[in-house]
Formats: sequence, C-alpha cells, structure tokens
Amino acid sequence: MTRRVATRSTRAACLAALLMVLVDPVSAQTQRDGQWLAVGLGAGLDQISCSICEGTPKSGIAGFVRFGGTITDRLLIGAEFDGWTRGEEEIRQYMGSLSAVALLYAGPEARFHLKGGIGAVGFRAAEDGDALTALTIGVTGGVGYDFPIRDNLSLTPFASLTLAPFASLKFNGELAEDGVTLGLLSGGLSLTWH
Amino acid sequence: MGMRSRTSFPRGRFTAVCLATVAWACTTSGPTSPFDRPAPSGELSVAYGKWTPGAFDTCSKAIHDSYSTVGPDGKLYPTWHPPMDDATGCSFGHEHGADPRTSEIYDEIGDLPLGLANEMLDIFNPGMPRHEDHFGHKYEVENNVEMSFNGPAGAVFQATCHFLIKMHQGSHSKDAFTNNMHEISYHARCSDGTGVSMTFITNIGDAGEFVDTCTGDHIRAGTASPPNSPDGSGKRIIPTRACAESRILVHDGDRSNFSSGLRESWQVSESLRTADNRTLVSINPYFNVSRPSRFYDASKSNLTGRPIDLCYSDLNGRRARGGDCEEATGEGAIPGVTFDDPRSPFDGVRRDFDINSLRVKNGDGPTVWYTDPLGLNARTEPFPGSIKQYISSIDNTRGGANMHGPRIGKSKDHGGPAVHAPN
Repeated sequence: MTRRVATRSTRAACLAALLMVLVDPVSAQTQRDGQWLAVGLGAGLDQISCSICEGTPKSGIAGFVRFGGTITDRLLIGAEFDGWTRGEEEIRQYMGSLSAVALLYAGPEARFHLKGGIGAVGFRAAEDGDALTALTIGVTGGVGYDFPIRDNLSLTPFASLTLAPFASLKFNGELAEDGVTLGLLSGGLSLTWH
Repeated sequence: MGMRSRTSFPRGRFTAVCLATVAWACTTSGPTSPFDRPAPSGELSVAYGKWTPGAFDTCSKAIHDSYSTVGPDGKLYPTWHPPMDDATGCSFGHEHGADPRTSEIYDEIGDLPLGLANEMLDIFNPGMPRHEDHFGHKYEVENNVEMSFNGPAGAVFQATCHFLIKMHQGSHSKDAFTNNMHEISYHARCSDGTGVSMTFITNIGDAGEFVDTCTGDHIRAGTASPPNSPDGSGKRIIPTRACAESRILVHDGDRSNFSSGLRESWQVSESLRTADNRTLVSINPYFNVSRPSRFYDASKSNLTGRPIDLCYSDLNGRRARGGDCEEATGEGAIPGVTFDDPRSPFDGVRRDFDINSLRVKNGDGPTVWYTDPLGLNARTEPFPGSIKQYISSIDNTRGGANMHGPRIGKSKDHGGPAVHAPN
C-alpha cells in the first residue's frame, strides 16, 4: 500500500510539473473578484500524538476543496474541507477538517498568499466494524503561490498544516485516550477558479 | 537476589533462621513491590525445604534451601535458583525457567516467595488446603515486549511491557490431571502506565478433569485435591496415552510427531475482583510445554504414562521413529533410559507462553489492594490470609481497544545436561 501511495504521489507531482510548463505567467493575470473555488490534490503526512501513540508520521493521499468569496483584492474568506487517507493492511485511516479560512495576499498583484483558519478536525481508523475516532476543534495554516493560467484560473502549489491539540480518541464510541494531538501536513497542487 | 550464603551448613531450624535473617537483609523491593519484607519470623513456609536430591543430583539439600527469601508474613520461602549452583557447580536436576535477575523489573519486584498463595490459603480457608511441589514453579521473563491493540487501535497506539511471571506448572506427575488450583505470580510494568503485581491461586478449568491434547475431549480423571477445589475458567490441555501413541507410534516410513502428541497448554483465564464482583484486572496467559515427562494413562495405577517408554514400544509394527526417540534411545536400541534419566528429552524444559490480554480497570483507584488467595474479595485493608496486590491506577481497556501480547520464547529450552524429570 505504501508503494501505491508513493506511486500516486509521483503521478501528482508529474502532473503538476506538466501543468507548470503550460503556464505562461507573463501573459496570464488572474483577477481576484467575486466567488471562487479551489480544488487541490497532493500528499500528506498525518501524526497522532499522545502518551501511548506510536507517533510516527504516516504518508497518504491528501486533498482539499475550498470555496468562498472575495472581501477585498487582498483578502478572501471561505470554507475548506481537507482530507487525507491511508490504507495499511486491513486498516483504512482518514483525517479531515472542515474549517472557516481566510487567504491573505500582500497586494492586489501579489501571488503568494497565507492561509489561516479554524474548524472541526476529525480522525477515523476502521477495521472489521471497529473504529477509532476523534472529533475536535483545530486550527489550520498554510501558504500558496498562484500561477495564473487563464483570466479566471490559477495553478497553485500549496502547503498546509492542520493541528488539533485537544482531541480524545474513542474506540467504538467509548473513550480510549485523552490528551491527543492530531496533525496533518499536506502539500500539492490546486486549481483556483475566480 | 535472595539468600546465597553457603559457607557452612549447620542443620535444622537454626540454619533456616540464620538464612532467613541474611535473606531479609539482602532482599530488595521497590515502592510498587507487592511484597512487604518484614523481619524474618523464624518460621518456615510449607513450601520451604521440600526438595531432596535424587540419584542424578549432586547438590545437597542445604545448598538448595539456601535459595530462599522472606515472604510478607516473615516466613522463609524457596525462590528461584539456576539448574546448577552458581558457586559450586553442583546440579539440582530441575529448573525453574528464566532467571528473574534478567528482568528489567527485578529490582522493583524482588525475589518471589514461592508458595505464598498456598500458604495464605491455609489461613484464609483451612478447609481448602492446597500445596504444590517444588519442581513446578516455572518463571518466564521478557523485557520490552511490543504489545498490540485491538483492530484499528493497533495502527495508532503503541506500548511495551516488561513481564516477570511465575506459574506453577508441574508436567511430570498426575497432579494436574485432576488439580486445577495452581499458584501464579504475575508482574508487568508497561510504558502506558499499566502495572500489576499479583500473586494468587488460579483455578484453571474444572476440578477433576483436563482436556485431551488431540481430541479436545474433557477427561474425568478423578477427585481433585482439595476435593472442594472451585471450578474455574480456562483449561489444562494435556495429552492422553491414546493421543501420544497416535502421533508418536508410526509405521515404517513415517516420522513421529512429538510436538503434536505431547504438547501441554495451560490456558489461564483469571481476574482479580472486588467483593462486589467488580473486575480490577483480568489476564489470560497460556503456558505451553513441548516435551512433558508424562501423559495421562488410565491403565496405570498412578494414571501416569511416560513418553520415554514409547521409545521402546512396538504397537503392531508402529514404533517411535526419528526425532527425540532416535536421539535419546537410538530408536530403542539404547536400553535403560528411564523417565527421570537426564538423557531423556522428555523433561518439560521446553516451554513458551502466550501473554494474551492484560486488562486493568482501576482508573483513579488505589494502587494497593488485598485479595484472598484466590484473587477475590479485593479490598483496601488486609485481612487474615489476604495477599497484597499492586494495581496501577489506570483503565487500560480504552473502550475495548484492549492491549494484548504475543507468544514468547517458542519452545525455549530452559534445561541443561543435568536436568531431568521430575522437573
């Protein structure tokens, strides 16, 4: 399964490289205006920390869907769903977040941006009807750089970090462990429509 | 380690009292040890001094008895010793398994007083006396054992444990055919905060019967000792003559399968419980023996058959072929190897154990409990015949994610050239 994840990550990276070749940043200039939608795909590392947690970062496929509106030409706000998954032996793991986010650009023409947000963060690992789950509040932050492709479309390499430091893990709904920190570091490419 | 002073050996009680005093002075025990170490009372436990050397043994009784420790009642108890005496090199002819001094938690636990629970049972319930032989006390030691968790919790949780376990598992006599009451001393310290030190008598399966290794049938073998032994969970799986013969006596061209025909598995399923029947700790380790020196033989007056005798048997052309019999008797060509001969491979030294589950439900509870010798009626104050148990304040069941351990020491050989049945 690890090899399969790595293969998918490699494919995503190749696709990103191809798209970047196609981009002509000089001629294209994306306007930040009105409603927008972004979809991203890449790889991620999750880490679950607690007193008895293995704590080793584990790789998987990561992605997000983000949409919202433009407040100013420097500030965008919206909602973001982040997801990560990994399969190992018979166990499928998921981590995800649903957050309110804000994207901040340095200026009207700036392409680099910062992301910050807060929302619900969840984790689930399942096998044969048993499930280990967590649901809590977390914060997210990240960076991106827009490469305009069309007037209303950008290709954006991104990196994102989500942290939820006050989680509790439950086994089939019963408390299993307190004092858990959920973490997800992801990166990849996204497309943004304005 | 307990008493090892052997510069002179005057006989009798005076010797024992002197040994006890030195043993007490040398005894170590940590803050979570279940064993209080009072000054020696000068009394001897029933378990003390039971062994005497046989024809194949070169150690004296005095040397053997010098391996002792003071129990929480001030009495002198036997404790672990190597198969051969460290100082003189003489042989005891029997072994008690893994050296407890190699355990990461030995300094905390100290020497185990063997037979403590049996001794306490005499006080708690004089109408249920149960004393076991010396040979059967077998230690298992394993450090840094990687534990597993149920289902998806195994992908997230991780814990390691140190185990120091002593089980009374005699595999040489008829005792276990009927008797289900056996002393266990179970000590574990884990990285997740789980910690237990428990000593009690576990009732393995129903009294008066055992389970056949080959068929799984329950075999009624007689009346247990004591006759009022309570039935318990788990089971004692022991081979019968028919089982052993079916796997060992084979036709020309086949090879004997000693592993399947002579395997014992004592499967404990036990818990420490309060007076209102609340479970504080539950465990279910399996203790397995690969080459016991006995099987159940209903045709014998003592019910005890000897595997080595099968090496000389011919059952309508079926004989033992290859493996242990070939090595020990040249497939019957070397005469006179008896069951207690050190040359016999059927001496009970090859053992392994499955840790299985270790569940503690004592979240926010006291760490010191006192139970009766059967591990029941736990309360926080001592009472006559009670045994002090240490249980960490934790609920490690984690909503059912329960941790459990692997099989340890697959057929580990605890013996040596001088070890022989009875062992």
